[in-house]
This record gives sequence, structure tokens and C-alpha cells, in this order.
Amino acid sequence: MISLFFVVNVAVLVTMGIALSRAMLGPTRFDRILAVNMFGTKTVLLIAVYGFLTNRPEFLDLALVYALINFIGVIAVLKFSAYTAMTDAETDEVPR
Amino acid sequence: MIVLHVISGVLLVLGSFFSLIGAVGLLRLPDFYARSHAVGVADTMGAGLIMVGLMVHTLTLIDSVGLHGEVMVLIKLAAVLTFLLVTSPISGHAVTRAAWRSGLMPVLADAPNAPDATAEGGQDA
Repeated sequence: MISLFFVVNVAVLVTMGIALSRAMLGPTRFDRILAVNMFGTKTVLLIAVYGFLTNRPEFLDLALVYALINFIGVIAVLKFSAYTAMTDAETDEVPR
Repeated sequence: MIVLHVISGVLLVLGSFFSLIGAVGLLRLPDFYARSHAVGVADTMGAGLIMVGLMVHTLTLIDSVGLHGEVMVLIKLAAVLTFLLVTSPISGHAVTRAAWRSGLMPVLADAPNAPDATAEGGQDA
């Protein structure tokens, strides 16, 4: 019998795949940051649901740490992109 | 407690549904600002419903086998849910404001009072 947690896990994995494809496609760098942010949130969900799937809810500690790292990472990348021009050294163009 | 099982199952399936809806929106919507709307749907409804579903499922565990650390699991789930619900709007707002300050324009509307990137952009994220 397929557990409901397995179905939720597959749905979250599909969501993460689509978010990664947007992070690779995304025309501007803000699209990529947005997609990576959503990918991180879905990582938290994936870890939590996987803990319940394997009857080991101790994985929730990892989910909590991932939530913290994801938030700090997104804010750090935004600060970096705001205070530096992110220009390419050879062509002097802002990469998208 | 079959009622709690049914409630947690419905919440988990609804959360997966909203998560997939947000992913489709992230892939198919036309520009950055519309995509940030889709991400907001997936972050609040998807994550919130899945987390509440897990909490209800933990309540069923308490009823069947007694207290074996399930209260701690409930507290951790509540902590993760609270943190997600606090930080997801903050990071979404930060990304969108950084894009607006850098001069990125929506494609489907002409915004008359957009800041130009040289005058105001780059102050803070």
C-alpha cells in the first residue's frame, strides 16, 4: 500500500523540479532568486514529510535548520546583488 | 480516531495541490512579478496546509500509542510552520523590492511612477 506521505513527497519533488527548471530558464536574476527561494521552502517540506514517511519525525530538526539557512541565504544574495554591480569583468555587462 | 485521519489526509492532499499549482504558475506566468504571486501561493497555502496536516497526523499518533515524544514533534512542527509563515513574506517582499529598485518593469502594464535604477536603486535590498 502506497502511503499518503509518499504521494505528498512525490508532489513536493515535482514542485522542486519545476522550480529548478525556472531557476535555469529565468530571464532575470530575480527570477532565479525567487525560484531558489521556493526550492528551499519545498526542501523544508520534503524533509518534514519524509521524516513522517519513514516514521522518524526527528528529521524535523533538519527541516528547521534548512528553513533558517534558506532565509538567511536569500537575504544575503539580495544584499550582494544590491551592493555590487555583478558586472562581468571582460564585457562590463550586467549578467541576467 | 478516523476523523483525524481523514482531516490530515485532506489537508495533505490540498497542500500538495496548492504546491503544484504554485509550481505551474512559476513556470508559466509571463513576468517576474506575476511569478512572485505564484510563489506566494505555494509558500503560504502549500507549506501551511502540509504542516497543519502533519500536526493533525501527530495528534492521531498521540491517541493510539500514548505520549512518546509526540508533544515535542508537535512543538517542532509548530516552530517550522511559524518560521515559514514569518520568513516567506519577508523574503518575497525583499526579492520583489530589489527587482523594482533595479528598474525591472512588468510586461503587462505600464507603471507611470517607476523609480529609475540610477537615482534610487542600490540603496538597500
